[in-house]
Amino acid sequence: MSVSSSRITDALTDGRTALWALAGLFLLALEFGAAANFVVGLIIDGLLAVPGVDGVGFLAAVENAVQQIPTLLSRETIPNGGYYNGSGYEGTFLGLSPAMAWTLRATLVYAYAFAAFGWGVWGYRIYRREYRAADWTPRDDVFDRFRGHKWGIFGLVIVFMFVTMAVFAPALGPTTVDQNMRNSYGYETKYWDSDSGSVETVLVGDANLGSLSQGNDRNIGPWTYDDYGRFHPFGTMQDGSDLFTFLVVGSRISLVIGVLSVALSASIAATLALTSAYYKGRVDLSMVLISDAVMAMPQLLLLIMLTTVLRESWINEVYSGGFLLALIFAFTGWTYMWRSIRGPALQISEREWIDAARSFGQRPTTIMRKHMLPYVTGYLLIYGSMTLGGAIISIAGLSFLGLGVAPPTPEWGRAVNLGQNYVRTGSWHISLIPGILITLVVTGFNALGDGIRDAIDPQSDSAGGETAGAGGGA
Amino acid sequence: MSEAEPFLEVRDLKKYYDDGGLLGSDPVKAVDGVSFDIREGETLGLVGESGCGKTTLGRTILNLETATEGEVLADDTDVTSISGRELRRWQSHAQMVFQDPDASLNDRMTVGEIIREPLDAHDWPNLAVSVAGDREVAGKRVHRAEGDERPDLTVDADGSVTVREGAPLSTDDLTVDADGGRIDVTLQKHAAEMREDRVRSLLEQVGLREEHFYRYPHQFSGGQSQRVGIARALALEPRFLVLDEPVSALDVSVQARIINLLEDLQAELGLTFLFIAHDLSVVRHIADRVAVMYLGEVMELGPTEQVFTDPAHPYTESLLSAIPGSMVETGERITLRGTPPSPRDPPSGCRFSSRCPAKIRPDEYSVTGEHWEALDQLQSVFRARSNAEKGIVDVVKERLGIQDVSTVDELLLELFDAERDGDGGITIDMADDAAAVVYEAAELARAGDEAGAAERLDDAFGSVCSEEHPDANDVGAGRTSRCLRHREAYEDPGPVIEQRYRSD
Amino acid sequence: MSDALLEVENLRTVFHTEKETIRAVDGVSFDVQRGETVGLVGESGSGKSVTARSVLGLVEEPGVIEEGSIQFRGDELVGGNWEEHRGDIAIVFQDPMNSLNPVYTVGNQIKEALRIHQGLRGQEATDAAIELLEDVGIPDAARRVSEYPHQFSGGMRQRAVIAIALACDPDLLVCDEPTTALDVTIQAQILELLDELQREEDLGVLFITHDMGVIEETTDRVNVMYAGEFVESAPVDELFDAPKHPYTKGLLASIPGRTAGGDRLPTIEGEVPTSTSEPTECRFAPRCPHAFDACREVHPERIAVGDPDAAHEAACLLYDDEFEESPPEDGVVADGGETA
Repeated sequence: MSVSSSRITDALTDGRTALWALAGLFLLALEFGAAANFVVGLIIDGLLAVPGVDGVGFLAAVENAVQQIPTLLSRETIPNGGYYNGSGYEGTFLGLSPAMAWTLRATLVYAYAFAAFGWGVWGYRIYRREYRAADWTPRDDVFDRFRGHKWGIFGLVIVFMFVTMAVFAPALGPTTVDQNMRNSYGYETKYWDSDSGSVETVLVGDANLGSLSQGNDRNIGPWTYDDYGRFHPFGTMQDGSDLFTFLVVGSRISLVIGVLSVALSASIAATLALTSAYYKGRVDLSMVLISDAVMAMPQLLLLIMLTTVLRESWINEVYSGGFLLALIFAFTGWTYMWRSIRGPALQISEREWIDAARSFGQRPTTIMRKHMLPYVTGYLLIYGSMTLGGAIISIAGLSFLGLGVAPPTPEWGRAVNLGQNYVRTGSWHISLIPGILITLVVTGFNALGDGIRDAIDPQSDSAGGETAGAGGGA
Repeated sequence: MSEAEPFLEVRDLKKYYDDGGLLGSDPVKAVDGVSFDIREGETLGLVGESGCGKTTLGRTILNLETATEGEVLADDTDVTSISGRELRRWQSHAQMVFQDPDASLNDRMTVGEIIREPLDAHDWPNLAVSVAGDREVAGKRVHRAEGDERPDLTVDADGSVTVREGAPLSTDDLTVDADGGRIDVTLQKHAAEMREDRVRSLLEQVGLREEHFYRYPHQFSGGQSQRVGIARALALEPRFLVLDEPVSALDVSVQARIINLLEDLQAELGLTFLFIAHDLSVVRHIADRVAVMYLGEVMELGPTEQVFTDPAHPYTESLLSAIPGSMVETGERITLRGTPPSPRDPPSGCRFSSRCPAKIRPDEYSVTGEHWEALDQLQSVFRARSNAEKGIVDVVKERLGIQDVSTVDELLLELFDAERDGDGGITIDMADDAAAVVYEAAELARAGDEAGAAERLDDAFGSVCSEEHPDANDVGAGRTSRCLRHREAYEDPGPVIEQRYRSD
Repeated sequence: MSDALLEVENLRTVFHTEKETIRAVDGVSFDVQRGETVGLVGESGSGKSVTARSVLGLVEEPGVIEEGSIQFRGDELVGGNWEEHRGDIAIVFQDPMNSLNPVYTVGNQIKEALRIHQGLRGQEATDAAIELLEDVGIPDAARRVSEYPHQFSGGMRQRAVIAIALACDPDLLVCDEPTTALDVTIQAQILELLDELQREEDLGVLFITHDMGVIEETTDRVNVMYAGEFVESAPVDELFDAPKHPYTKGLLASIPGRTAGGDRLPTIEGEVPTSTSEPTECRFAPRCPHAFDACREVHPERIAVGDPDAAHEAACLLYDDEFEESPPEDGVVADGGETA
């Protein structure tokens, strides 16, 4: 269906759509700096990754310029710095305590994220009502059913918050990984020394040493300030670094590895399943044999072996080993998904419209894509979302064992590991909070998968409402 | 009927399904040596009951199944052995309309997309241009018409262009530059737009409305969905349609509308139909000639009215007499006994011999008509038993000789209305020589050798019908019938049936 | 008639869905006597299957019998009394593969029915099962009784279903499209079998189908159903010789093959409606070639038509003396033409 320019101008002159477009522009403007920064950073990273390219020339200048653009949800706009000088707050945002400032920023981040989501749904609604040529598609039923599914909505909310956390990690954390952990002796922080009654400067690394959480004697618990006036929403870790920052940045790794491995698994599984379902016979048989062989390999041992062997290679550099992990997960884990969708794929391949497509000479790859894939996608989503939860747990487990993502890159599992000695003490927060988060996120993904599965239920596809009566159609 | 060269010639076509079992079981002979012609513009009906192979035949003609043997000639090309570009060309000439619109339409696609798909798959349009002389044809969506390909455009020596009547475009849509040695044809419209126009015109042609373009199949009633299926089949302007039970899934009144539509389209577009159905009344209405299939073979072929009013083959006669109601004037009903044999193990000789009401009976034995039927049934049962999968327990029992033999007795009692003697044996009220054979066979069956029992019965009571495979005899007026009774030596089937079933 | 086996009066079965209430059966009355076969014919959406299920007490949520009475041998069934008569009314459904449980042998399923309804057990039950299989014409019954449904062919499965129905020793047999899924020669066998059994056991049979040929062959009296109502009832010969209601006429005319091919088939325009409101008009009027103004305002009642000796009724205002319109001559059917 072609969209000519006249349709776009029609769209823009319609009141509701114009309003929606304006709202979108507004939202974009708020975060334009961050978005531009991200894009430029990506380009630069991409260029640098190409072997032989050492400098990026003018792009560095572009990057600098872009970094100057103010964005709403950044640490600069709503800082949580400043200090309490015994009688009032100084140097803080709007005179609020740092805790309040941080809470405000965090709330704004989430508000923005939900607003953006809402904006997207609004746009979809407008499109569906006004602009879409078909007055009904099968997806409508799926969305409608999902809307009423409470458990699924719960899952969606959790997952969305998790994704927001990962996307806005630099803005959410009270500080950054670079300042607080990686390069802590390269930065300084100011604090109010109540003894001397004045503002002192100290290296961040030293400040960390003074804010350890190691049991009942020394502990900076959740939602407290340390001796240097820094606010810690989740407390500090056993080496004094901020736990919250650790977790939000760690969420990125979990999400990226998880999504990457599941997406890759799903692609492999889908391709193989569709191919074996279309051709059947010997092709199917050999697929089954291959997948059985892969499944027979012990995933954990393979993981350990490969991470060790490939430690020095370039793959391991990417994302601190996260990329390698994702690849290994994908290539050993596709069998589960393949097994799950092989059944539905075989069922679909028996349907008559596949025959019809063959009869007018449609190419096999097109048949697989157009006529089989849409029916298998639902299953992929379901199994994918559940596998994602599993992937996150696996990565956390590996990090817990010390095998996964290498330090100092944060990862949730490692937090659990690092805090395990202190679980029974006042520093329980180091292990328990990440543990709870892991559980929550994985449950969220499973709930989402449940919701999708129930929404996709193929037996109740209908447009006008199939009713049980009217003669039973015999 | 014109005697022009036939549009399609099917020659001894065979399709066997080998299920590739490890122990090399018999293949299913779905189509076993079928030959007929289809003339251009006619509707050939193909009727038969389930399992006779008519659907497989239709699919094999369209290359949806690979033929095991034989050929299907269209314009002197064997379409069962082509591939690649040739195959795609055949596929654009020959299309299929499926039985169940719910199953044959992908309900994740809108109707517009469904009908457009063949056009996309063949990268339509690609016009055939016929030019006088040797000039080259250039352009993105054109090619020079080859052989006797129907040209969409004709460019004369003086440069004037004619568009084929009925082609889905007009001269406004093209620019033809005929200067120099090359003919450049440019299409004004974008291919996507042309395809959309084509889909809309097809929708109209089959009686649907514009707004149906964006609907999904299950929002339609059965009749409308079937129209979509027909539109899709017509998208590439085929010349030949195989219709596999296109109206069986529809209500009577809807069926009538679709039949009318099909007839209109045939007249309008000059199509040739192969109409596969099990509903004889529909076939009677729409088909010019009809072929009756049984167990993979064509038993009778001829002009529809004649076949219906004066069937030559005993199977046709039984089929017609089985139709309920007063649709067809036949004599009293002949109810065929038993079920069709398995296509894996068809009867030797004539396929219909195990159920034929006009079977030639050997003269040596004088047995009543009912008992003849009982003998046929007994033989069928033994054959079925020998083919049935026996559980391990039964096999062991047989080997040890402790199997339950009473079932054989039950069988005899039931089929022959026999009675038990005082000493527990069974006596059949039949001529001694015949009865002796039956007892022998029963013994074999009790010992577990059902195949042997069937053979024994066959040896004695089988006649030429179970030994020789009949050819398709010409019975006049362009009709053929595959029955041994058409030979001089035997009486024709019609009178035999009259005498056996309708005279007392 | 108080000695009728089954008497249905003013039956109304509706389905309450989220959006609307569908009146699948809307005021239907008929009866079935011992030894006779009553046919119920209609297209999909007419409500004939729902009628059968209502009679059998198999209507489930969101369907409910809202009004009317179903009397079996004088006992009122509506209100939940079906359990008492379960063995007396037996069912034969369309698809035997759905009626037979694939994990039990056929004999087992027959014996179950025998146990419940006739109290037979053990060897007695097995013998009775074999006999039933023989009665329904399955060859080699003694061996077949221990086979599974998938080892039977389609026609034999349907016979097995009939055997199970007979095992209940019923008085009334309700057949819902029993031969639709079968080949024509097998159908002929099954119809012959049903005919034989009816005579032998003096059964009353309610036969539901959309196939007019089968109706002509099998039934004694016919009711034509459209959009939840009966539009015509007559003895079968009478109906086929002289149909009165325009729908019946249209239906009969659109069946191909009744005459030599070649002519365009007459058709009925439009689609079967789903009835959601009370019948205040003739539901066939939008599609009727003979409709006049009153048809959209008055609900036609059943009126005696045709041969006065035959119990022939039609619900059509053309035959109502109150209105001036008179019916067209018999044998004339207007051509409905095509529609989208």
